[in-house]
Amino acid sequence: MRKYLFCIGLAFLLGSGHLAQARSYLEIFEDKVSAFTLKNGLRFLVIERHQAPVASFVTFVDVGSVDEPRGHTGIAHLFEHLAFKGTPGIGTSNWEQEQKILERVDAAYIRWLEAKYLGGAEEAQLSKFKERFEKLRDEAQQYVVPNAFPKVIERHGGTDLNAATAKDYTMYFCSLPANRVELWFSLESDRLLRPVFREFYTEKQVVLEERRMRVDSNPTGRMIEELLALAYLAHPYRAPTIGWSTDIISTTREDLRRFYQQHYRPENLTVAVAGDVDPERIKELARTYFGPMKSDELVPKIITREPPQRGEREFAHLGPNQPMYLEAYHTVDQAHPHTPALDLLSDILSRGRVSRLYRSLVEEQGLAQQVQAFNGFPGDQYPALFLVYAIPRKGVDLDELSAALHQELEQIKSQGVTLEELDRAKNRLRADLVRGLKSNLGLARRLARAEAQEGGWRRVFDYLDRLDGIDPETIQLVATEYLLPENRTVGRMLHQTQQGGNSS
Amino acid sequence: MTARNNLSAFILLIALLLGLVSAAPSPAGPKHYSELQFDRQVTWPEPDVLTFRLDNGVRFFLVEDHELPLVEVSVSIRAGEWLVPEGKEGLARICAETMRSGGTEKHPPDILNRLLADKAAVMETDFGFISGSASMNVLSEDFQKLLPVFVELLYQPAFPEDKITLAKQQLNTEISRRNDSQKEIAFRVFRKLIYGGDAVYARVPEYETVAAVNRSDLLDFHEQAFQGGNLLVGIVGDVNPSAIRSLLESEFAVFPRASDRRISLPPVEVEPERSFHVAPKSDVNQSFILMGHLGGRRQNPDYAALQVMNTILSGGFSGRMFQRVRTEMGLAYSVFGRYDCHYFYPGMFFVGLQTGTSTSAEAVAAVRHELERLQEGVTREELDQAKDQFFNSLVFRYDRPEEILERRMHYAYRDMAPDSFHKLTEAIRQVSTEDVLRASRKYLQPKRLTTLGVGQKDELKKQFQELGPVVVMELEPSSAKTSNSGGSAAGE
Repeated sequence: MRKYLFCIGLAFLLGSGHLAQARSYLEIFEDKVSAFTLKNGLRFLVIERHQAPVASFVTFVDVGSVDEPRGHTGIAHLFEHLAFKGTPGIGTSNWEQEQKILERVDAAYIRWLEAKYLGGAEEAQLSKFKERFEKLRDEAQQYVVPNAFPKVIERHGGTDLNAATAKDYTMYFCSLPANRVELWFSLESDRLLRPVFREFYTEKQVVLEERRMRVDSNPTGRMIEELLALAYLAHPYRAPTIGWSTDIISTTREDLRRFYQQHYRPENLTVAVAGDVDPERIKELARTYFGPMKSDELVPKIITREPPQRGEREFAHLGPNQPMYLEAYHTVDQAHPHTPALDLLSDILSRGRVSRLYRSLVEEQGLAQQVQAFNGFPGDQYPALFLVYAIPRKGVDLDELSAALHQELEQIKSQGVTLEELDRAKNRLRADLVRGLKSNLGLARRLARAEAQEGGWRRVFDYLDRLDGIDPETIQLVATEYLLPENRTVGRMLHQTQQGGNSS
Repeated sequence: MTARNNLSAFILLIALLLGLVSAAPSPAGPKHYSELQFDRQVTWPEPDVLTFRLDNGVRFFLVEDHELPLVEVSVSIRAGEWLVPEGKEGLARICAETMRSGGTEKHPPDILNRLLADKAAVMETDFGFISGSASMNVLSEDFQKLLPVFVELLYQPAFPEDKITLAKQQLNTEISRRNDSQKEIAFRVFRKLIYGGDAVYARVPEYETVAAVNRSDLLDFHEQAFQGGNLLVGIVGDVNPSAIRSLLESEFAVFPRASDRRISLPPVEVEPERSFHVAPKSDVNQSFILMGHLGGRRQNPDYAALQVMNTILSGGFSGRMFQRVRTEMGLAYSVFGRYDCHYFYPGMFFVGLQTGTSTSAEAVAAVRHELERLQEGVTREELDQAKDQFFNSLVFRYDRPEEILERRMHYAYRDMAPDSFHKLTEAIRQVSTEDVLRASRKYLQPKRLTTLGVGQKDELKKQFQELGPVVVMELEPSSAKTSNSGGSAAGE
C-alpha cells in the first residue's frame, strides 16, 4: 500500500504540477524518514528503503573552503584527504612510537619551510633541512599500515567510498551491505573523533598532483579558477577549494588540528543513512558510537559579503588550446526567493534540444559547439553566480558568439518567456529531483544537505512548491535584474595565433 | 520463440568464504572494527527477466520495476565504427547524431523535440566502436504513445541534409579540439601504438574522412545496422511485461529479417617491444603517462585469475598501484590500470597516471617495478582481500533491476550464456595465489612495455632517455602521426 502511494505521488510529481501534489509526495516521505539529535547536537536522518539489502552512509559536515583561515586555502580539502589515513587504532603498527616521531617530523618540516620561504637560507642549509625532514618522515612511515581504513571498507564489500570538499560543505560517503551497519559506525566515528593526520606530507604531494591535474594542466580548470578570483573581490568564493600551491605546502599538522577542533564538532555534523536499515537500531548505534563526541564553543560562520560590482570585468588566457568563452553574473543564495526562477531560467536557456541557446546558437546560427548555463556556481549558501559557458564551432570568433548569446539574453529581458517553455522547465526540474532520489546514496546526500543547510530535509520537497509559484513575468524580472553587463565577469580562452582578433 | 526464465525461485547465495555467523544486536559500548563479526551470507531474490524473440530476429529482455512511474528502453545494435569502410571514419557517429537530430518524415525535428520535451521524455542514439545503442526514457503513462515514435526513429530516420551538415561540423569541431586534453591525446596515441596506426581499433575521424561521408553512406550504414538479427531490446520499469508484449511484437516487426551478423575482426599485428614515446603539450606542469601492451580476450580460460590480478594490481584504495605510487610515494593523485579482455578483439593492458613533469621517469620506474614484483607472486592476504572485496560487494551488482537487465544484454550481445556472470563468480571463488602468479607471468610483459608520456616535450624526452631510446611525436591539429604510420614522427 505504501509503495502504491509512493508511485502515485511520483506520477503527480512528474506530471503537471500543483501544490497539493508536492504535498502528497512529502507525505510519502514522512513515512520513510526519521530524524533524531544526540545530546551533543549531532543530527541523524534515517531513510528507509528496503528494495535491496544495502545501505548508503553520508556524513555531511557544515564546513567548506569558505571557512578556511587566511593563508590556508585548501585546508578543508586536505583534512578530507587525511580523514582516510586512520586513527590511533587503525593504520598503525605502534601508535605510541609513531606519535613521537610524527612530532619530530613536524618540527623538521617547519624548519625547512621557514628557511625556504622566510629565512633566506643558503642552498646547502636548505637541503640539509630537507634531508633531515625526509629521513624522519620515512622513519615514521615504518609504523604505517597503508590504506588500512579504506581497505577494511572495501574488504567488507563497500562501494562508492569517497568524499567531496566544496565551497560550502564537506561530505564523506560510502555504501555497504546492510548487515554491515555497525562496521560503518565503528570506522566513521573513530576517524571523526580521533583523526591523527598520519602520512600528511606525502599526502600533500598527492594533493599537489591533484591540483596540477584539475587546474594547472587543465585549460578549463585554469579559466574557472581565474573567473572566481576576478568575480569575487571580498567573499571567499574567490579562492580555489583545492588551494593555492604554496598554501598547501605551508599548512602544518597543527593547522589541521586547529581546523578540526573548530569545525568538526557534533553540531556541524549531519549523518544520513539510507537503505535497508532499522531506525531504532541506528539510533542505538548512533548513541554508542557518536555519543562521546565532545562539543565545544561554536565558531561563527563568515560574515563577509561581496560588495556590488561596479562594472564589467574581463580576462583572457592565451595559449595553444582552442577558444572558449565564460561569463558570470552575480546573483543570490539558495534561500533567496529568486533562486527557483534563476534555476528555471538556466534550464530554459540551455537544457536540451528545445532550449533557446541550443536552438539558436548551436542549430540555427551554427556558432556554438556547446553552450550551457548554470545557476548557483560555485556554491549556494552565499550569493553565487549565474554562469554561461560556450565552446565555439570551429572557426567561429568569440565576439560573434558572445554577441549572439547576449542577443538571446536581451530577448528574454524584453519579451519574456512563454508559458509552454516555463512548464517544460518545471517538469524537467521535478523529474531531476525524482531521479536524484532514486538511489540510496542520492537520497542520503540530498536530504543530509537540506537538513544541515536549508532548514530541514522537507525543504527538498518544498522546492517544488517554490517552482510552482513562478510565472513567466518572474523569469523576465530576474533576467532583467541580474543579467546586466556591469554585473558581469567575462573570461576568454584564446588560441595563440588569433590573439588581438578576438578581444573587444 | 519464448524462453521464460524461471529465476524467481533462484536465490543468490553470497560468499560463504569464512562462514562466520554472529548477530551482535545490542552493542554494550563502541567496538573496534576488528571485534565486529558479520554474517557473510547475504541473500536476495533476483527479478525475473522475460525474454522472447520475434521471427525477424529481434530479441527482447523485460524486467518489471514499479518503484518509479518510469520506463526505460535500451536497444543494443550490432554495428559500430568497426563496420565503417576505411576512409569514412566518423560515419557511425554522424549516423547516430543525425538519426536523432533529423527526426522522421512524420516527426520532423521540431515536432519530435517538442513532443519529448513536453513529456519530460528522452530519446537518444549512439554508436561506439563495437556496438550501437538507442534509448528511450519516458513516464509509464506515455510509454504506449511514445514507443511507436521511438521505433519510427530507429526504422525510418529522415537524415535531412541540414542535420548531416551540422553533425559533420560538430565532429570537425571536436577534431580541432582534441589536442586540448592530455587524456584524450594519451589514449588516442596509445591505441595507435598498441594496435598499430592503421589498425581498425585505432582509427579516428579526420577532416578528410568526415568530408567523405554523404547521405547515401548513412542510409547504407543504417540499413546494415537496423536488421532484426542485430537488435537486442531491453525494457525495465513500471510496465507489465506480458501486457506490453503484443505491442512490442507488432512495433518491432517492421525491421527486416536477417541472419545474425557475426562480428569478425582482424588480428593485431603489432609485437610488443620496449619503447618510449613523447607527445607534446606545452601548457601543462604534469605528464599523462600510459604504459602497457596488448591485452586479451574474454574467452580466455584464465579470465577469472586475471580479474583477481587486476584487483590486486589496481582495485580501489586497496590495489598495489594506489598503495605504492599514490599513498607511499605521493607521485600521483590519479593512478589506474588493468589487463582488459574484450570479447570480439583483444583489449589492452595498461597502467596510467598523472604526475608532475619532474617526477615522470620516477613514476615510470615505480610502475615497472610494481609489475615485476607482481610476477614474483601475491600473498594469501592480498588474495583474500581481493576475493572478499568481490564477493561482499556482489550485492551491489544486483541492487537495481536495470543492472540485471544490462548484464543479460551484455552477454546476449556476445552470444554468451545467460549465466556467464554466475559462472564467473564460481571461477573467481576457485582462484588461488598460484593462479594469479601464473596469469601475471603469462600475460604481463614488464620488459616489453610501450610507454607514452604526454606533456612537456623536452623535459620528458630528457627523462625518458635515461630509460631507453625515445620517439618524440608531433601532434598535428587534425591527426596524431606515430612512428608506425611514418609521417612526421622522428626517431631519436
